[in-house]
Amino acid sequence: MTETVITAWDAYSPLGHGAQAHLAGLRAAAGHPAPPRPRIDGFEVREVLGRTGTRAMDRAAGLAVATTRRLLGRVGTPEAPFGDYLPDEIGLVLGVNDGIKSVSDFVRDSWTRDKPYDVDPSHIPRTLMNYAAGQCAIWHGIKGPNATICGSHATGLLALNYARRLQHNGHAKATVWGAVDEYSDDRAAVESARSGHDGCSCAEGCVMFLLESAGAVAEGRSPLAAVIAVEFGVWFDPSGIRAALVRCLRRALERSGGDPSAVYAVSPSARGGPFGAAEHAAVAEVFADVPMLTATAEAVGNTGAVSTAFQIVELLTHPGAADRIGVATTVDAEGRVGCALFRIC
Amino acid sequence: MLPDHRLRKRVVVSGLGVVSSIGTGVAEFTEALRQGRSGVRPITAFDVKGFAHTNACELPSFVPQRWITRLDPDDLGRATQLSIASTRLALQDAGLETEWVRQRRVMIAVGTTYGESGELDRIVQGQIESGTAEVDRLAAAKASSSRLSIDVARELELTDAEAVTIPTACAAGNYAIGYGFDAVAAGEVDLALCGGVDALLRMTFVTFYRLGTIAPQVCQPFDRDRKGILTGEGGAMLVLEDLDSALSRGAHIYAEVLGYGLACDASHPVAPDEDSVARCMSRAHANAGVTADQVDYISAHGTGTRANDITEAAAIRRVFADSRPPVSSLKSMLGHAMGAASAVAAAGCALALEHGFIPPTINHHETDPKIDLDCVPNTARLADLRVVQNNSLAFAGNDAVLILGRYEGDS
Repeated sequence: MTETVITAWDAYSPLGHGAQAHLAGLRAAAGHPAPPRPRIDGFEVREVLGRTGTRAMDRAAGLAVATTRRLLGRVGTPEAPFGDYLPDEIGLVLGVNDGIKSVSDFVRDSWTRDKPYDVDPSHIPRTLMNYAAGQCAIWHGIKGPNATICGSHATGLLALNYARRLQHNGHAKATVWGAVDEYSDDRAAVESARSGHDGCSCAEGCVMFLLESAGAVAEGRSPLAAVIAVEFGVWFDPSGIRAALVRCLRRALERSGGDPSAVYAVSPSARGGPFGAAEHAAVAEVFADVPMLTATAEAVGNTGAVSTAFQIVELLTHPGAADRIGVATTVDAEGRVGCALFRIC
Repeated sequence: MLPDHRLRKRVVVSGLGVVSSIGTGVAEFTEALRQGRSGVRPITAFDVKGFAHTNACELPSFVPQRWITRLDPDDLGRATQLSIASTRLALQDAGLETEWVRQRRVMIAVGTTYGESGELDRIVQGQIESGTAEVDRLAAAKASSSRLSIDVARELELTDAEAVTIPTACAAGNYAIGYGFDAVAAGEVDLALCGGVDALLRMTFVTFYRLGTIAPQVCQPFDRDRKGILTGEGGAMLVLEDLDSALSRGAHIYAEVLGYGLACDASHPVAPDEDSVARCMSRAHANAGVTADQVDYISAHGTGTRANDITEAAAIRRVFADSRPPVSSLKSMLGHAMGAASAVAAAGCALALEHGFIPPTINHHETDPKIDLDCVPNTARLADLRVVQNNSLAFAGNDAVLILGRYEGDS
């Protein structure tokens, strides 16, 4: 079976608009501890995407559309927007969590106006969790499979696995996949109430990747990393997180034939608190004293659905990793653990 | 782009768990489909003050404690409760002990439209009533649609599980079943527990009411006088495993999953598109290795709105030309259970194959001449079915079509 490879990525983050700005922001933040920056300064949907078709677009959809536009700018030309691929050969897989603000705004109108159904119909589409993925397809003409994936902090890895399987079973030749989360006061309030801590550090961002079959990568583009394993597991009690992640990592190594000594770095979800401690302990148990890449989480905070996607970016851009294995791990508050192994090209 | 079928394991449906407004469990649900039972009743799930039409296909009774034993049902939103209940029913139906399942690699894929958005409605209602910005902590914990899938694993204590929620709106059930199929066919998991759920929410009702698509009384897909949808609720989870696994444990096999297709119209956030629906059906046929003339029955998306039914019927006529099979809509009986709809319909398709009948389109007086299809009006029909097709269309242009086949042994 031909390898599945990541060949391009782009991002919007609180550190910058676009891949280069994001990386420059990461370098600038290194070694300068500062309070996390939750919001992407200067990102207003209607300024970035224009005033047509954006009146009722929420921030998450705006970020996903804008990031996908940047990514496709690396892949195609105005005449052939997807390079050698046709519009219905490309899939789009977007990881999201609940659109807390769009739903809250909608029901708030319903509760406070004269009639319960006195809501703005243009606000209806964005209350659906698949709205952002649909907007990406509409804006960019992506006519292949269009999927939305949700799984708390593991969302990015679940989306990657979905994209990988789409290609393996012949539903798409290549996939634009990634994840998005928006900052809103409504989300911050709900996440604070959920965690029991005031002042949730939730942050926003979007990362989109291009996934291709190694044999189909066009000239001018080269693989950044091969996806060699994606695995998940479940914990039932916080005291079991470490063991669950250790099992998950060992399964990933076993099923991929990956050599633990080839691992150059692990990028964990770095959530802090007992979850973060358990995650670090599991990584240390399996890989001993491997470097941990945590710069994005430290500089930006909790990017929710998009956190694992930012972790993958750290792995892909780490210097001197060619032919070695990078590992992204995640632990969510609901019971998931997950990991992905990449052989850096 | 065709998959190499030789590399694919054969995948079968070996368990069905259905919680619906016309019956819970395989026996009740099958009988309801045969009889063409209606799930319509006045809404009790929320206050309907201010609305002129107030019917829906609500579950007549749902006692989560019957199914949820390890987790506390009070800690779970209704969609999550439905997800666990449907899965428990499916495992029971498949004759699987949870201890056996725990030793296997499992995918849990749950499709949904609104997930736990109802809890966000509860939070906002609380804020308005109290005049504060206070967030109800229990509702905040429940208001996570990703719990629809992971809480199934936690309830069943499955450790080697990939738990994913697939919120692709009204096509989500088919998406989840297709995804389970891919994972089992590739040999990456031993068992897929997949389907879809949605609870009857005030927010859903407000949405479709505002769009002017709520029918006053009943849902009449393909009828000349159809007046729109009725919202509904429920859940269906399917147990998928590879054929060898099912045979070796002597499992009952309802049907074989032959394949599925996905396509996106990339044109409009809410209106369906004929080209895209047709393309999606053709992709499903190619993925399943069947031709249109082999399809014996189509379970339509068939919402009962003017736009959906016209568009879907035109796409069917285009793809099937002179070999149009009978087409019926289970939504005439079940209303539109959103993310659960195509999963419940997939369960219905498996039962249709097993028992050799076509579920009817009820409430049908006169077929809209623009539809021009055999809608199997009002009465179930005996039929020798080999290949059936389950359509689903969704907002955001997410179309998904699933193809099931009768399992006929090793012939």
